Amino acid sequence: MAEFISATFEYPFLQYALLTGLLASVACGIIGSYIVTRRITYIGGGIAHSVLGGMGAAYFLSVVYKWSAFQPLYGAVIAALIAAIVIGLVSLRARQREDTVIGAVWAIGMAIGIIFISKTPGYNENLMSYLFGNILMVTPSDLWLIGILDIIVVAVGLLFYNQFLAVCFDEEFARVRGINVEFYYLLLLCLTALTVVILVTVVGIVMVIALLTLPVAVASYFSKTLWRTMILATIFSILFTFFGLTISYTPNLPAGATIILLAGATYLLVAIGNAVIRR
Amino acid sequence: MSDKAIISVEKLSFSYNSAPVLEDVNVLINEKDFIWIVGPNGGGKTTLLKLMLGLLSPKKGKIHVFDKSPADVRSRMGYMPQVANLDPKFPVNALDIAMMGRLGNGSRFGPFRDRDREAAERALKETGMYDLRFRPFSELSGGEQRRLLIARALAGEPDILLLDEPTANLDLVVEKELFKILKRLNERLTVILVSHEPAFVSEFVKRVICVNRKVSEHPTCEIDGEFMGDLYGGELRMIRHDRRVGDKENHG
Repeated sequence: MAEFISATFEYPFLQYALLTGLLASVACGIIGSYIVTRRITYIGGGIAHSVLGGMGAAYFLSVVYKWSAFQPLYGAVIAALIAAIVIGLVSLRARQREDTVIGAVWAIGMAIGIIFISKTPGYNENLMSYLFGNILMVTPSDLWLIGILDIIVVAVGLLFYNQFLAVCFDEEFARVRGINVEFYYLLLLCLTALTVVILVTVVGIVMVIALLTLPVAVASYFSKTLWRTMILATIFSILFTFFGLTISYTPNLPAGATIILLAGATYLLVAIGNAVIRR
Repeated sequence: MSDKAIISVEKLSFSYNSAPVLEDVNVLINEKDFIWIVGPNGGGKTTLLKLMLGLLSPKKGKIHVFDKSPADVRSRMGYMPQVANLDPKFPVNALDIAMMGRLGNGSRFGPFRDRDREAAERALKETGMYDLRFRPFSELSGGEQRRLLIARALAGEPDILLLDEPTANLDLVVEKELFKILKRLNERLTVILVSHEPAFVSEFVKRVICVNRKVSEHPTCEIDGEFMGDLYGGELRMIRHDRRVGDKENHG
């Protein structure tokens, strides 16, 4: 712990990592709360995996065609938004096909990514860092993009809190009150897409769904309203990323996996504790 | 029938797929009516309610509310959906739910204003839910949830109250309480409610509209076993409400 803190003052990469964790936690607390209470976390999973397609394409273009400005995170943003809109439109228009489409977007996105990465010359260590995250390799330019996405997600997520709450709780009533339910549902999925991109840098594609849901799941044991769930989920997420980084530092464990294990263990303890108290 | 109709349905037909759900429906609803829309499951009652709310559009015929298309006057309608459609675990308290009724009345984004909160609190007081306003939705009883959803509908300050199965799965005592509230509201609002239960609260209900693909209307006094048998097809166990609740032999 002391070693980690003194190292933080010394190495910028740890400062970037902590700042990324902080930014990601705020987005995760707010958007995660919406999608967990609306019970659409699997949509987050589908969007997360499809992101590999965008990252792989961007990586391929930057290496083979020297589009050096087109960084993998930009590709991730584009892929995530496309996936969100495709899944959203299908789930609004033809509800019974929703799970099929999520599964298809999930796997097709990954397939595109794998093909692009395999066709990119050189040693492909990037594939591993996309899949499992590498918060310690966040660059200042990544941090700028994450910061901008974070501001968008948090501002829009809070500005339309009343609308999102009404749409998540009771779509039909919201429609009678003159709310454009389709618009807000798609907007929420787009915010989810941007949140997923932020979280991919922290824990990687495969573990995004855990970071999106576990802090909210823990928070929901201590909260009966949505805004309180958001605040608590943000705090838990900050604690998980901070202590996950700390724990992983000295024995040189993968940071993303450590963060997820810490979150999972906390959730398990809270769930068991709650069950014991209720008996 | 000297009052002007506030809802008029003319030669309306509706179908989701090919099979008609409603056929050649004609209904006029006047101001301060208390309408009980009754019929079997799948008979089209909820569909008729949704057409009145503008959530669905007729395939044939016309429907007007305050002489306009229903979707244009939604802000004057208070809607209470079926409780069963809501997630009982959703993290939200009573006041937050009542505030949802204010959406569409005021600002388009950002927090609610003071007058929105005042209107929601007034509505909660009207249905006796004010003291429970900070109680989570998941901890409310069935009767309290209905009263809360009525308060949410009232928060938008509507002229018409439309309720979908407000008494489903309620015991008689709670049902009676709910009707007391609706009767009081009926002094200033038009009340339209849908139920598949042939309840006979004739002391409150002014007109009964029977929906089973076609629509027929009956004065409340004419409803008897033979009529109910026609409507629901086959035998039916009737509950008579002409004795007080609490009498031992109220099953006729």
